[in-house]
Amino acid sequence: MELRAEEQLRTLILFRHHSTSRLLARSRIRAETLNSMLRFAFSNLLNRKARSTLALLGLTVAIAGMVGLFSIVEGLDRITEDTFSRIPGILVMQTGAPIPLFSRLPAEWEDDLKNVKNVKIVCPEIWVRVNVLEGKMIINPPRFLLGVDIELWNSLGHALYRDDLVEGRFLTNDDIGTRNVVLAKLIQSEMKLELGESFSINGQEATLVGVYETGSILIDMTIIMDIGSLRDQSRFDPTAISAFYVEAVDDDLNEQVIDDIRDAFRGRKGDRWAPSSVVLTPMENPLETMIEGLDRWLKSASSANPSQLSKEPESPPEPLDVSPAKENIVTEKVVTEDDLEIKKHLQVDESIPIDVQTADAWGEKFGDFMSELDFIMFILTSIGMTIAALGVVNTMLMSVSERIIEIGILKANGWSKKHVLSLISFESGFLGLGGGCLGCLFGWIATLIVNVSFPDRVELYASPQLLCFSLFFSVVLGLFAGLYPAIWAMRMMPMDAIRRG
Amino acid sequence: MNENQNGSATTEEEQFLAVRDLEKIHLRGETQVPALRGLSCAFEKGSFNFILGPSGSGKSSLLYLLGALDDPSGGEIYFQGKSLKSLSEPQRDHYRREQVGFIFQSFNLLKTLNAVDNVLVPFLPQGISADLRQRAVELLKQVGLGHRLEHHPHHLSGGEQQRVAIARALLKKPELVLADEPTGELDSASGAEVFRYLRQLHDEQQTTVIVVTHDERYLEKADRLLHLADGRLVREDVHTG
Repeated sequence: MELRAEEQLRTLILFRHHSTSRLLARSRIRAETLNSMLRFAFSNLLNRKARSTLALLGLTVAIAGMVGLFSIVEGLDRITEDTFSRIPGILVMQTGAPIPLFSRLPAEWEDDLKNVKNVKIVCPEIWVRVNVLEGKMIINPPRFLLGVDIELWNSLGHALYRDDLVEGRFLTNDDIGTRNVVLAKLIQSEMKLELGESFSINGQEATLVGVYETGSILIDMTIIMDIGSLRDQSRFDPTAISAFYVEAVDDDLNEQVIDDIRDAFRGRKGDRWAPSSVVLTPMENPLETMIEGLDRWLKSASSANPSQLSKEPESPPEPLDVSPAKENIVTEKVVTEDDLEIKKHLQVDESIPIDVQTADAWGEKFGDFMSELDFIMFILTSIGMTIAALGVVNTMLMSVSERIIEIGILKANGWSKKHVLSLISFESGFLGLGGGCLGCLFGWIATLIVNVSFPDRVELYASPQLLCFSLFFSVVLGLFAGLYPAIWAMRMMPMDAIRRG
Repeated sequence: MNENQNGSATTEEEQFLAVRDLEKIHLRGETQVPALRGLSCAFEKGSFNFILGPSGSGKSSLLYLLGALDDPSGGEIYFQGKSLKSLSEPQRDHYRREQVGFIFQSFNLLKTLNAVDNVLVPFLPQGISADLRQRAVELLKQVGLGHRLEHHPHHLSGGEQQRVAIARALLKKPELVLADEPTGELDSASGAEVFRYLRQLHDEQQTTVIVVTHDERYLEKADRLLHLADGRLVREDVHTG
């Protein structure tokens, strides 16, 4: 019995040993096959240098274009994320105003905001556009003057600009009533200003006391000074401010504070922002006027009842069909893979004269805009890709038709349809891989060059994910583009191929 | 039914390679050009055969049909008793890869590959083992190209290229070698050399060789001759030297 069991065990071990050896031998042959086919495909491409280079160039340009276009979206995405993650508090603006610059609110509402539960600090802000800096007209990139209540700003737990100081000092109570300013490093470098140096903003003298740098081009365009001085300098309506920055006792209570502020201001009379209200902005520039005119025209064209835009309704509108505490937030349940997530869509409720949102919510709005941009980029990229794909099809078709005899010889030597298909696909895949690598490299270098050349205008970002996707896409594009010529070659009878040759 | 060289009757199934009522019609636009008109013949294992005839007699068409490089318009070809028509696509690929070696008039080497890789072409998709590579090198040495192993076709003379093609055809140790005008683009000396190697390898491996030619200088005693004209077999005899 024991002897038999031992024999069986030995047989089993031998069988396993043979199976493993067979498997190893098979995988070695597979690796050798792949290696020889890849080498053959590569040498075929090298042998047709001009044609391969042209196809490679076409793909490179298309992929570099793709990386470039999508790096705009990713750059904006990153800026938005960088920017809004730096603002932990709540922004209160005039309903409908796109940015604080265009918002106007009564200054007296500061006390009402302070009385809302869990509100710790309310900072009034005045935003004015810089039109002339050191005698130079400023159009693009724009620069803004921000007037803050210095004492209140310094008492904030997290204060933008103050916490990003890189040189000099932030404004202190000694700067109240002065024209001392803190500005972005970008503006300082551009104007070559030293600390303590005076310069002119909108025709008025100012002195540089501090420099900040946040790294976000959306933020690093602001010059901060005392609110009173800015009000005097710009002849800003003494009863108005642009916006309020509200800090809650705890950041986690932001949502609750937003609801409470909305409740507190519901039914209160106030102007809704419309482009015409911006006539209050001093020293209008022609470009801004043109953009606002266009905006006004678009709004009137798309609105069923244009009067609603310019005129505050006499009575509050019908309440929306949502919970009483959150009338101006419509919630809609969206099923995700992991769980049910409630996505909030911010919607203007005209019974509330203010727009109260966290920076994250502003980020979401920006995100919506970027998804539109994404679509435009997709269309532009698709055009480029189609041209590149046609280039590869053309190259591979020419390459195949030039090599009809070769294909006939291969088939005469026992190459199956699958083998011929693989060879042509490897060749087009190589083109895709090469074009993808070069396209990603050039696209990435281009984004770096653009970022260095225009640091205050754009921030392009080609993420590793974008580069990997572009490379993958290029290989897939190459393979698909080579498919038609490959099928054409595959179907040919060996004799037909030889006779045609 | 065909008669073998001994005069005894055999069926197609019993013969090494048999052709029965073979027809091939080529299409030139809408015009039908008949290349073979009901041709029947047979080839014995290990024989050295010549298909002779003027241009347009259907010699090359017959050769390509024997190698399953083309489909006949009618009739049957039996290889070791099995009809080529009944073979599936992978079986036909296997037949061409493993059992038949081709030698073409214009050598038909792949210019991107060196001499060794050209010899190994039939097996590239299967993977090249070290043994196979070694055998390819030995074959090239046998045909006098030991010093040209890494050379690409454009660095080889016509005769050398044809010898690479012979090595390629013989690497698989084929049972059947089909040669279409193998000396057509060679001078006399190179042509004679090619035939010397072909006969030497035929003797060593007992391969059945079928050569299409209209150059009768390379015929030797006991070679079997098939004379074609207008797509028909007009005469069949043995060369007496």
